[in-house]
Amino acid sequence: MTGNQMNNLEGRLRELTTWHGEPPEVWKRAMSGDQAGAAARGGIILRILNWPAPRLVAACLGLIVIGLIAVSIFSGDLGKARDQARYPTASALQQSGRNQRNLAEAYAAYPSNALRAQARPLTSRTPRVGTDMGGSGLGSGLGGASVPGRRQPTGRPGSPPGSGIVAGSSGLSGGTGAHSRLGSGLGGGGTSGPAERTAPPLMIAQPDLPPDAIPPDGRHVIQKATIEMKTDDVRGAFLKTQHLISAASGEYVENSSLSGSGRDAYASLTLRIAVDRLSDVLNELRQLGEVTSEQLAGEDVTAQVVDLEARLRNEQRVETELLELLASREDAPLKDVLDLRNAIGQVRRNIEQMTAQRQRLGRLVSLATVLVLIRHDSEADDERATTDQTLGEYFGESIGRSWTTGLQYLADSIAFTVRMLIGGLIWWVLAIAALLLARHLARRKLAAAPFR
Amino acid sequence: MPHDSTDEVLLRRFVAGQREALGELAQRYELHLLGLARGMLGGRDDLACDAVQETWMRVIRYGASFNGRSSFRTWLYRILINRCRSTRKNEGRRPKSRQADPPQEAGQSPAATASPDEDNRELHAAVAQLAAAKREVLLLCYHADLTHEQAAKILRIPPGTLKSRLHAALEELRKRLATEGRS
Repeated sequence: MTGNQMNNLEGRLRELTTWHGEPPEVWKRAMSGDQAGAAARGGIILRILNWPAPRLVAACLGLIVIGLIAVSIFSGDLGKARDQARYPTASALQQSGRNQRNLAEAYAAYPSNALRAQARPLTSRTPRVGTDMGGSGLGSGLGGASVPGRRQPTGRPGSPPGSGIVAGSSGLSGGTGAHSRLGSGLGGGGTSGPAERTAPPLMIAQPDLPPDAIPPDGRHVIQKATIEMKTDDVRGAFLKTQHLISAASGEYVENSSLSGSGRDAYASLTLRIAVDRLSDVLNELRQLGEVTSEQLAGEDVTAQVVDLEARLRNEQRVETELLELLASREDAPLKDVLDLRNAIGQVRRNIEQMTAQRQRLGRLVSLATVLVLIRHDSEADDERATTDQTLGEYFGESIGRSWTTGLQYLADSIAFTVRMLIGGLIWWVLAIAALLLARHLARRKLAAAPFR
Repeated sequence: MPHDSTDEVLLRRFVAGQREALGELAQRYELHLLGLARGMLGGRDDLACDAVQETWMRVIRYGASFNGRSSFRTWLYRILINRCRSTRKNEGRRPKSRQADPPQEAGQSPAATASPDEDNRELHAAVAQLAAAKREVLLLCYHADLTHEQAAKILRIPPGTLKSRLHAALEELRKRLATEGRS
């Protein structure tokens, strides 16, 4: 092929890809289609995914932070958690595992004679009797159903003492199932479910608690009491409470804590008190501040003790018989002698175990457990301040207090946000990685889309 | 709108909502696109128009996702070539009876297109018999003012590959034309 022919071919090839005539303006047809309008606008997700990575990540983080702050501000959980952290209630402490050996042991019934007289017919199969006093001992008798898990309302001194039984939603219906764990013999409701939530013990206010911890009829009762109070001087009350124990009677402070200061002061003590002094100690405790909640519980372990003692006596008799047998059969074959000795060893082990159990029960019965929770009485402060101050001072004080409270909530919100950000860091990183991956895939898909 | 705006700027303007920017892009490229499509689709103007229209629709639809890694021209031609491939594939699947009439020049009657350029028809037929890869290289390299480098980018092949394919395509084309000329 010559150079001319070559040029001719190239020219013809160029001609092949050249459009002759007027352009048909197909782009206008493309624009007029419905797809065109929609496509030109593009989807918002598409546009967002097309953002630069730093902008996208910053936007996501911003959204997360805003969400967390909103959650922390508008949800009551934060405020509740904060209050619980500062002023844990008895139920909170109980749930925290401090006295998790047995819920019933923690809040078993107090064996009031009068109360037992009422409770026995209802609790013949469940000897535990639960009481929950919603006041400082001046409230009504058997009151309406309290709300377990929450702090009981402050006792009103004006409530008529001993006003008898005020039935709750279901009156004095006998509790069943889990209720019996927490003295549901007197509990309202009577439905199944977690003891403390679904079987609220009836509120019982007793002007005077029974002095006899171990009743004269020989019953063995493990006694537990919880008393919550508020006072101006938490530290003073804390120290006075510690001095209530009598070392001579074998009493001791199982644990104690004092935290915070001023309005945030909070103290808790667990006392082991001789049962015969329980009533006196509780009376003295009530003098230390305004009682906001009081719970008494007792667990009747008489049957256990009786059973244990019977089994113990039986095992001791068996041991005696075996020893006599061993002494009388000195000429018996060695195998028989060894078998006999093994049997004696087993019986002695049983005796030791039962003796230990009996001693443990005896300790539990002889020393009652008293949980004392003391917090600062801010309402009294407020009331005092209100009455003593002029309107201007009160206004200034209120603004200052609001400012402080606001800052505290702000700090809590920030702390909550930081906690969520740091605590969930691995999830945030994974989420951002997933987002970037999605963006990458979306972009790839988009880039390839025109060519499909 | 200033006429010296780059293609990318015009595309961004169009994505931002200035519809007239697409008109300017069309002014720059539509004739070239139509010509190339016509060449790739065996001289069929109707198919070429369809392919170019679909190309513009994809530009409209996916203009926002144009990432600027290649030039707009490369991107546009890539879309067109894919459209042409797809059209050829669809045409190949269609029954012969349903296929469109033989190629004719735009704006001319069938009677007029039958006579004017017998050589062009031969060339079309010879080019159509080439393998797709060679045909695309050949047409792109002799299309408008595209350089070999630009053609290589459009086809996503190295320049060396493009040149070797071009050489092979020309050789094969010459042989075919010579054979047809003798026959």
